[in-house]
Amino acid sequence: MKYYFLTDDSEKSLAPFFSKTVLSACFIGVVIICISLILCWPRQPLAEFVGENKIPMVFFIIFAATLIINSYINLCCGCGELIRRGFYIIKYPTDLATFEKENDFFTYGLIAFLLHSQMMLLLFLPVLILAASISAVSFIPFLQAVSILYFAALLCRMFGFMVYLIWGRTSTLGYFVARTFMIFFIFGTFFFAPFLNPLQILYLLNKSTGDIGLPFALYMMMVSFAILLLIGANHFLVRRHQREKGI
Amino acid sequence: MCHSYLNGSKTTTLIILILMILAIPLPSLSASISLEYSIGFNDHFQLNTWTPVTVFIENKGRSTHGTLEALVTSGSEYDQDVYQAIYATDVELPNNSKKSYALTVLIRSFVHELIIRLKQNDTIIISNSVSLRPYFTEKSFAIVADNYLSPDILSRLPNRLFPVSVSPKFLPETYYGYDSVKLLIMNAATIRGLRERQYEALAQWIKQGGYLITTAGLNYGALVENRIRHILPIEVLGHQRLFEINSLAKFCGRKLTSKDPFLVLNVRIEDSHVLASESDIPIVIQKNFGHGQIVFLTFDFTAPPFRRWDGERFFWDKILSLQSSISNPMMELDNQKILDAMFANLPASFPDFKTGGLFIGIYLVFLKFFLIKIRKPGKQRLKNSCYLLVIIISFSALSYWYFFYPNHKQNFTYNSFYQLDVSGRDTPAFGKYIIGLYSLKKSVYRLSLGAFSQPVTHILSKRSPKKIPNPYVLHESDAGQRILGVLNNWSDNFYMMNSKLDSPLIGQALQDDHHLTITVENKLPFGLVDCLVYFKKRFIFIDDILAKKQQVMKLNLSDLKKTEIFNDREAERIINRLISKGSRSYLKTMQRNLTKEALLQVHNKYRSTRDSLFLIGWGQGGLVQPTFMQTNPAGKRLTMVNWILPVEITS
Repeated sequence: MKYYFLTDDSEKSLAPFFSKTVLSACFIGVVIICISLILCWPRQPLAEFVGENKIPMVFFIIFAATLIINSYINLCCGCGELIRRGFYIIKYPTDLATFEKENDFFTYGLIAFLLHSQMMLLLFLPVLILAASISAVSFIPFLQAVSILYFAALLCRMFGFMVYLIWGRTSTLGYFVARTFMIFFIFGTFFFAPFLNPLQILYLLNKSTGDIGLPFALYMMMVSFAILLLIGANHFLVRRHQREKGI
Repeated sequence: MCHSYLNGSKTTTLIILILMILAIPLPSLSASISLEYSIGFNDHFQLNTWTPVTVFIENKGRSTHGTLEALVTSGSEYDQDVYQAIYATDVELPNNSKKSYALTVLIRSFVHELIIRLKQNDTIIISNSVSLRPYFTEKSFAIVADNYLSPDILSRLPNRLFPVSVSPKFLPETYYGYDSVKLLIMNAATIRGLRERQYEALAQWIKQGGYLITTAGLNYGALVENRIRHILPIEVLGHQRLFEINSLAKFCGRKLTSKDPFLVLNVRIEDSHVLASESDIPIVIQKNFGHGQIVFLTFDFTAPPFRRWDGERFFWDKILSLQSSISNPMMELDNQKILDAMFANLPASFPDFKTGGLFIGIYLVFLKFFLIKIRKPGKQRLKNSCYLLVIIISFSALSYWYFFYPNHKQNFTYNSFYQLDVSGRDTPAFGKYIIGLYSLKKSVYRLSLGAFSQPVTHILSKRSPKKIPNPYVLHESDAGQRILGVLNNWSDNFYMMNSKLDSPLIGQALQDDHHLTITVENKLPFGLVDCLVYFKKRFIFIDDILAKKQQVMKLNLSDLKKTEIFNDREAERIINRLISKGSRSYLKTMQRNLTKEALLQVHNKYRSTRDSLFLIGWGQGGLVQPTFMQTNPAGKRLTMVNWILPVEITS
């Protein structure tokens, strides 16, 4: 099996690792996070926070921003929007089948998504560590927060890919469905299912007033379950496509 | 069939027996344990003082162990600052045993009930609530500790005190349990019968300025006991028969006469001062013990003719007036100012903004560079991708080791400040010790401030929004006193301990026409730096005082006269000189925050004093060594010494 996502920059690849658009999007994301960190850097000395029993929320702000940015980039990558956008859509309205669609999902698309989401998150890592040190978040909550970011990104990626498989990359409906899902997952769950809200868990990790093992485990369980469902759905849709095309 | 019937009968009987056994109610642990307690002195206590609580626990059941707790509630619901201070001790109760346990608690309010309870793990076995309202007083106590004393002696004791008779078994086991006691009357046989901890507490209390009146009565056997000889080295010469004691007229304004003869004990006490004697027989003898005093009466004050004497009240008034008062600390630095100063030097900080900004900037430059590189297809892509990976990992590692790990280490820190007021060889030095604990995480700690029990209280910083302290327990055990507490994340707790100790500084100051010569012997384990002397309304810097050494310092009086009389400008000059020597050390920050108030206090209090000098010095160490169990937090210690020294003028 060839790993086209590592080598191919064309429209045939849904989100190639080394494409200019994807890398630029990631870099802009890191720049935004860095600027946010500089803006949120505590102006008061640490003693004043302790004296007033205030907790610096830098960790929450930076991780929440990373969550939104990274999940959005992954959603776009899943939908294949980062490669085929603007000018290309107008010039070549016919959508080309991608490697992700033509290859078996378990042996190609899933591996690409898992690796790509990890790589994207890795770019943010030094800044995330710095943010955690300001809020004095311990190593275990830090790892928990990073895994929240990763799982959220993966969920968005899987959902984006499902949207792509159902509606293709040029569908307006697909565009809105993907974004509605992300908005619902990151913000809407706060009102409907707080235990599923990643921002809420990140906030609790920043506060770390006690053991948040249960909310974290519940969140991870539910998100993992959703990812598994989406993996299953994506696999089914890819197989259906392959059967239709006789691949 | 008969056989099977018998078998069935046996089974039924067995079942009935088992049911009967199960039906018998097993006595619970609480039913087999009973509590008796005594609060204060014969159930009286003075508000805002340390008060002994003695609890007798009887266990009629199986042997058990647990924790005895006294919960003292203070504060007001209106101000929303109600909190419970918990005083605890470990309890071991063999079966069929009765044991006594003593706690010393600080009662600030009579409004709330005092709770005494026995806990095993988290289960409360027995709990009693005591209403404090009927038992408080605002007067200090005159205690008569004797099991067989007629209560009418109490009516003869000075009115300005609250006289109370206490069974010796309820006397405190800590020296600060006598906090509210002004006068303690106890005969030698009672001292002999005290529990070891009670005796040690008594001796310690007298050493620190307590006042004990004792006698032997007719039976002077107790006087040869080691315990008595330790505090009162007495030589008994025998009984003498007297009919009158005329010398008491000079002593208290009334002579003591009797139709019948009565016995007095002729004794000699080393290094004592006879206050009244009759025909070379001492009647009232005063002996200093540490910074306190013991008065030995050679007659039996519990028996006639003393008991029928019309001068009894005058006698006790005179006895009370003999107590030398120990002056208050010379410098009263505001606790909140000290807390602010300690906060300003909290041993933890955020990562430096400039370093963080630089780190981010460099990372972005590297990231951009390699992201551009890896875009280009070709053989170099893989190599550049590896470089990018190395860059990300390196920056992550750098971020961890430079920012994350050092911050992780400062999650729980402390700093402490000891203010020591020394006023003379015969006066105890007053120590005020404040320790601040700071935590960025929720932390459980066990803190020991020394081998002996000390009166420890919490202080709240006014800058903190919280009105009550983080929860803590003052726990007594064989290993000593511990403060067991929990700190919420991003919070602090301050504890204060007041103590009296032997003066660690000895010296003298001699003034002649040209010089002021100061001889100092510093017994502290650390030297004193940035020493300032206040003399004739002026502050002048002197040499550092070295640790464990005797030192002579000579000040030229003409230099002193050249110095400006203390004023605001001088204060600024002194502070600038102090802080210019160092940048942001704990010593310098504390000096910056506390020196001005200290200088002003000294100037206002001693500007009219011409025959003494005042010395302020700083020691970068502590007389109290805080020890944390299971954790080893980073901490800083500092001592400020204030010393008043009389100046002798030589020709």
